[in-house]
Amino acid sequence: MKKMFAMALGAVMMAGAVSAANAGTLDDVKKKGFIQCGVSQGLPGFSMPDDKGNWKGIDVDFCRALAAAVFADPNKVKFTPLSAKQRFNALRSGEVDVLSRNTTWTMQRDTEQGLNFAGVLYYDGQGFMVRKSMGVTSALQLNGAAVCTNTGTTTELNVADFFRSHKMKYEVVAFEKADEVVKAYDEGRCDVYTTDRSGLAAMRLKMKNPDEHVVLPEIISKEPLGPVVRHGDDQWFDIVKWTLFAMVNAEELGVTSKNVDEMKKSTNPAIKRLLGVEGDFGKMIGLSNDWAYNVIKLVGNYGEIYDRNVGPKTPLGLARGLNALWNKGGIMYAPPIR
Amino acid sequence: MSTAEAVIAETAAEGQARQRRLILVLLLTIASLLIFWGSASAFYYHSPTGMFADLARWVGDIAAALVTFDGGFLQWLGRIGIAVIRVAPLFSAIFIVGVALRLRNWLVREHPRPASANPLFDRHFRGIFSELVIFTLLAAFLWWITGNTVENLHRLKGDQVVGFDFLSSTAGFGINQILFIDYAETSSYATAIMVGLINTLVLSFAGIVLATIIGFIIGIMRLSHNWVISKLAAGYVEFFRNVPLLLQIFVWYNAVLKPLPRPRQSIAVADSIFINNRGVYAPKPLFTDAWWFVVAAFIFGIVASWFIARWAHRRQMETGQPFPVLTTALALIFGLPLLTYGLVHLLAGPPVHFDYPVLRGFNYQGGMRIIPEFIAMLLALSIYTGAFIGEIVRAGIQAVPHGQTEAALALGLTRGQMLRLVIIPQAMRVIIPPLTSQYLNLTKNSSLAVAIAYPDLVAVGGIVINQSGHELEVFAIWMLIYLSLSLATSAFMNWYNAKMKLVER
Ligand SMILES: N[C@@H](CCC(=O)N[C@@H](CS)C(=O)NCC(=O)O)C(=O)O
Repeated sequence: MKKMFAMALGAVMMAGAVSAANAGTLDDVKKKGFIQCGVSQGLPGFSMPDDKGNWKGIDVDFCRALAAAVFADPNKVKFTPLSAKQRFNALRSGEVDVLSRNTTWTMQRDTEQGLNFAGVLYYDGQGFMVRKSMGVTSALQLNGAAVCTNTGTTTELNVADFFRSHKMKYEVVAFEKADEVVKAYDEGRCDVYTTDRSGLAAMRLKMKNPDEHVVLPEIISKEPLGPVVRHGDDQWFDIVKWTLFAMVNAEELGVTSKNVDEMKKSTNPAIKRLLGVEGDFGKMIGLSNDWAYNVIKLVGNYGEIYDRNVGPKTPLGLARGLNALWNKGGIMYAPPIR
Repeated sequence: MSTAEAVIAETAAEGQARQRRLILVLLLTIASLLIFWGSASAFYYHSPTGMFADLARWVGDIAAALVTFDGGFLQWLGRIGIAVIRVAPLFSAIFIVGVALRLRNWLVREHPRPASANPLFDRHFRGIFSELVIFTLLAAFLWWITGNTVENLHRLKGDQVVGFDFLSSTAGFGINQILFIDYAETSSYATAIMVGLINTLVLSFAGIVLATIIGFIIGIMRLSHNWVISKLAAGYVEFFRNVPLLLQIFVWYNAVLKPLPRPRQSIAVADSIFINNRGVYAPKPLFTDAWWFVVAAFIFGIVASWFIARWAHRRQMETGQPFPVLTTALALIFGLPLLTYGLVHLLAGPPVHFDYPVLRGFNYQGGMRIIPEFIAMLLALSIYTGAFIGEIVRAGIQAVPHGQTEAALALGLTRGQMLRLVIIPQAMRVIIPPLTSQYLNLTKNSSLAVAIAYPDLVAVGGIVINQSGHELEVFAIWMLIYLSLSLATSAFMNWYNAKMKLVER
């Protein structure tokens, strides 16, 4: 009898913990007053807390852009650092509202995993890093190598495909935390470190002697990295998607955080629509019409967040490459706001 | 007062009260079932008859699972599991009826006389009344929680909700320790999980053996009269027991990796064993058919020793004449196979060939290999658990009254005989139950292996979850497996405990 009562009590208490993955994310977010954003645990240039504990990086800036769109305040966002392995669970269970964490858009994730990708924030591909002293110049010379990587990633699948299709042997040593991977590689547990090339550039900064390593020329996969939301909430999906598009369109239209106020007076109808001078585009996604103005004013356009975090002038020093706008030799392209 | 008198003595008012109680029971049961039904239909089935359709499907599922035993063990288990979970709450309906029937019987037979005219003030009635209410609420809650989960999953993932069919899809990732079974990237998720399970079993088993050895040594050292030895053991216990295990795992991993050289600078032992920061490489024995003679000799040695020990024991009991059992047994168990080996070697050539590891490219290829992650985990787990076992052993020995020692010495037993024949058997009674918990702890702690990339059940299962998105199913498999492991360990230890119990004469 007593036992049963205790059971019932426990059950009722558990009920509190079962939070439904609620459909109305925008309402939820507005009610709590901030966006809970899933980011990686420390990837320089993408998401990493600086020495004052402020999160910095291109993934982080995208979260801030969302906060600017919803609240007109880029600081109304809280960050949840997630390992590659934890991230989808966290998103699905409602622990975070959006995942902005160098996550590759794949068909299986977009469907079976119950997720929606809101676009591509960074076009990437997987690469290999080895010690210079090994004298390796091509990934095709890696037969029999031990490869350190992150578990729960496309990386560990690609590496298996690559070695298998080239009939090469390998040993995979898969860790959950990126820092553990780098440490093991640094200690010599592996001959090769593999992840997205942007990740290689970023994690290299964490190595004991960054100069002792080279990235091999092969790019073995397509890794379109972008923000993710869960299935079942189209409005929130639209908001995340169009915030990203607005940032890309702003760059294309020459609207920056510096000139955005002047641009409001522009006669270009595309700029007028973007900045909410004309039309009701904000209302269409449940926000105010100056949503994109706030994003650009408070965070910046796509080019700005790229240059600030990962561009050639940063320690990562990544050239725009594929991520340049479509009319500047890259493939970054956003549907029009109209 | 006899029963007959009691019945006669029942007043009309009492009879009425009794009837009222029974009617209330009936109403309550009907209400419980209705609430139960309502919650099931509302939260889970979305239709009043859904439950029966499900029951039919459930029977069908189990029948199908039994008939088509094809999808591999895990899948089969999973299908039955799902079928049972789906209709499990239905069984609580039967339970509700059961409670009601029991209540009726009880009220009629054992407490025919109500303590009060108002049933709600009747202690016995109230007891079962609340039982029914709580059970109904619990069942309704179960519906709500499963319904909620299913609903959410459905919204996230559409029609393909929960199920174990994904286990047969291609895994696609590599694993760096594969023992006993075949696995490649093209194998299924189910096979990958099996690899993880085997890795967990191997690690736990090795850990338990080593931790037991360490524990017994530490426990006995602690009881030593030598101050240095006893304090050394005490220091060991206090240190390793109090530093978090995860930290120890990381430290050991570093301690294993750091000092070891790169493959090209490997430490070579007798030119056949190589140690480097990729692990320990040793020649792999390849057995010919003739090897089985050696194995047969070994088994024969064990069996023969057992019989000789029995015979010697009986003779000593009868005549008092001792027999050198140990020497004979050693000769039989090791000498005989060695002799056979020599003979086979002479007649049919070497019964064992060795595949030596050779440095090729980046690393040694061929031979046998123990990965550094395994070594680090084994050290961390056994040294940590050894500290706890040491304390258990000490407590066990100290629990044997000192009089036993004195009696043994008075009988003229040597110290060794005293320990072996008198102290240890009695100490074991105290030691075994807590030792079982330590074994269970070690097995469960082995799941920390994921931190240093040892591919155990949790690490591999985690990859499967992440790549497939089926967390609920993998969690179910994890729970089922760890539960079975724990139950099997306890069952074995209970059996051993029963065997070691003091036989009282
Ligand atoms: N893009 C790949 C890999 C993403 C990934 O997790 N990469 C690791 C290695 S660069 C990482 O971001 N680690 C950073 C962290 O966990 O803090 C995927 O989506 O599966």
